[in-house]
Amino acid sequence: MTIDRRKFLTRSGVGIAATAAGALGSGLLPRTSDADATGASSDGGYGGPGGGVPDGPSLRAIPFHGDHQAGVLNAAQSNATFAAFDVTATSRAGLAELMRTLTSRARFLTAGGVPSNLAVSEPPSDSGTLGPVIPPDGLSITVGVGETLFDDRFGLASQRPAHLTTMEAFPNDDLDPDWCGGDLILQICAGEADAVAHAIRDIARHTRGAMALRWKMNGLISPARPDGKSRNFLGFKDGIANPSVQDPAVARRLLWAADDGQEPAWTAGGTYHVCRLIRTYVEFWDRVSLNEQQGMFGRFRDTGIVLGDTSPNAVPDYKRDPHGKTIPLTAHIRLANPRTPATEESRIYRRGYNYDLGVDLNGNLNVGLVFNCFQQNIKRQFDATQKRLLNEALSDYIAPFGGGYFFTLPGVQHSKDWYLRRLLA
Amino acid sequence: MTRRARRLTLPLACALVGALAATGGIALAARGASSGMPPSSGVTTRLPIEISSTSCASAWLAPGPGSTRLVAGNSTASSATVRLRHASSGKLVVGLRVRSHRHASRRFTLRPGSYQFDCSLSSGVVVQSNVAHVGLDPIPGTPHKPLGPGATSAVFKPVIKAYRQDVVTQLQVVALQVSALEGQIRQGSLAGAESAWSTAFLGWERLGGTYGSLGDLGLRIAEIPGSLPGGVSDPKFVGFHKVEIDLWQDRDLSTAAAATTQLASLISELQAQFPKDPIAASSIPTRTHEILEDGLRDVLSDDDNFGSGIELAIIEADVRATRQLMTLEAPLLVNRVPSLISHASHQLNHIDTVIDAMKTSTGTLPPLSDLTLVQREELDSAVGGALNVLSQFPVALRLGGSGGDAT
Repeated sequence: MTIDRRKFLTRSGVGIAATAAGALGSGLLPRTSDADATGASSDGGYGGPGGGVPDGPSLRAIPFHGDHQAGVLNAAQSNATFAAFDVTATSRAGLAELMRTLTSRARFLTAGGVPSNLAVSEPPSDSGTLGPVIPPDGLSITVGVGETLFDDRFGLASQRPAHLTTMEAFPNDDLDPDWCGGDLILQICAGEADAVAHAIRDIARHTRGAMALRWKMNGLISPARPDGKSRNFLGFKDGIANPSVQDPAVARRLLWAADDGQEPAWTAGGTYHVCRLIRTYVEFWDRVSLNEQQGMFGRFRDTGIVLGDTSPNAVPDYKRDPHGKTIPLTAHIRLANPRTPATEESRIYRRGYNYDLGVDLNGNLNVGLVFNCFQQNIKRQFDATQKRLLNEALSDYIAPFGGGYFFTLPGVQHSKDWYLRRLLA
Repeated sequence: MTRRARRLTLPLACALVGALAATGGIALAARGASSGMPPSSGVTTRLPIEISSTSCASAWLAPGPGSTRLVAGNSTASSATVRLRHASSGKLVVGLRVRSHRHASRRFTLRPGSYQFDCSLSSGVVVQSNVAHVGLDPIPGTPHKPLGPGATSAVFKPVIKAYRQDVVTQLQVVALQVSALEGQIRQGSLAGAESAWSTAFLGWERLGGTYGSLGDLGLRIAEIPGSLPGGVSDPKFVGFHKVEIDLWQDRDLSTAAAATTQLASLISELQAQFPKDPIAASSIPTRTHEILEDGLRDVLSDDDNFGSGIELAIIEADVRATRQLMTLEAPLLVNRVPSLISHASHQLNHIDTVIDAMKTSTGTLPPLSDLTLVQREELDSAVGGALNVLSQFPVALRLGGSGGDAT
């Protein structure tokens, strides 16, 4: 792990960093981040709040501190990576140090600023892929933990979130162990792909020796064409029927860890994260008639409107279509969300991305969906939904092959706080 | 890749051979074509044929309608006259005189219909060709009319009946093949067991069992470990691929023996269950391209190989199964879109040609992993091209209504 070395360099180079930040900030970089970056220089060796952000393509910074982590409620940025790590630190203290480092890097990267400037005889402190000053670009870094973190390595077994398990293989899955699980997951999202790539590279560099990258999948969200939700690679709009978790009451009921006496106290403000890597066989899909495609989803492809209706806001009325003459009984939307009082509590909040992995051995495009959702209780919500979807017609054209179940940590609340502090301090 | 539940419930198999004869399927264009691309409109399509002392335009393939250049080669010691005629009326379409050991060509317009060549040699020998069908060029995505007003799923009943009987027959074959596998294991012959496994698995493939079309039992018989929580160690992991791993990866005949006993038991259960299961008529048309869709997705991706390396033989089996299904469907299509059959047949022949060219000097097929990039591209392209044509069958065979009646 390079943390100690980094600390040393920070201390020895702080004067240089401050000088550089001051120089670059005078006139050349008029804007400053509006993020809460008060702790950005606490241990990372970067310019922190004094550093400006450059003109050019960049979304505004998303506040880092709060009860909940960013990357859940805020609108999904266009680019993402989902990176699962295994912790290689061997002690509870080592895990705590890792969490502090992660916090520090996330705090700085999401705020943006000027990296510390080392002497030319040293390896540069930043990859430079975003230029000399790091723009925030709407970066969010959302940290989750897997069930395996609560084994006997760190003495955390009794503090495992009540509903956190290892992702099971469903009957239509084709899980590859190399693409599954992980002690930690980082969901890193930003406006541009280079900001995402910069962040994961920075974090991996600063945590090397304490955690090892297990799998990583880049994601992208297309612009809404022509409007509404963006589309998946099957051509259909994705995430149309998300619950309104911006409403705190809905979020308390469906999203955030329950305050019901079952969950350990430290989980307050967290949520359960299901990330599934789902290959889509687009060549096969392209050879299927539009009628059949729409029947499999239950919506018109062009508009996203439910079959049999004309209004974009129409809600399917399954009671009036009990035999599936309009929306087939096996349609995806009908199985996923039957819209009954009994299934209301199983709704999930989706925040998915498409992925593109190049070409398969057989010459097919290797593309698919990072199915990504948050909820209060995986068993009650995702698992129940997924089991309703078993053997849906769409399953011929997709193959879930990786991912995992995680618990998204509560937010880092202030400049002295850090991920898992309530558990490890 | 896991055996997902298919939208279809009708597997197709080489076991349908007997049924095909009974239903009198139309003649399919024979192999020999080299390109998967359909002829484009607005250009002249080349139609090469050969004249020999014993054959005339052997295995000729009908191009699409339109401007056509007939190119005839005469390999005999006699001059020859080749004539293309309407198959039903004998009316002449185009004629061409070709001198001994020379080529000649003529451009003409080919219209939809059924045609046959005859070749007359100056020595007095007259030979006829097969009949080929020219119809509307089946451009992918071109909508076809449904089977017609009032058409119901009843039109598929003869197919389903023939299919059902042949699956029963083929299951008996597979059961015997698995029994032979058990015998090789008992004798302690790993090589013999591997050979017997390959034979039995190809028998299963010909049955269509890998397409998820034989219910839960079918899924278990062809189960792969990725869909089970415990992977290869999961106690529910049984079937052909479990035995494959035991033989090729673990080289453990004792575990293979136990797994093969389970496999035999599952097949026996399926033999008892299958005759009772309904078969949806709506499953027939989509099956035509799904057999090779599975081959492309699961076999040519190398996802389903657990050591045996018989991927090319599996694709050959898929081609045969698809060809036979097309023959079953032909009576429903021949008067509507006859070129679809000939064009698809052309594509399947091309796959066979590509695979044939990959045989080693000993005549065996190499595993997928031994193919060069160029070879893989040729094969993937051939299969992909065929699928683009085969996927038109569901459209051409759709019923006006739901067509979902089960038989």
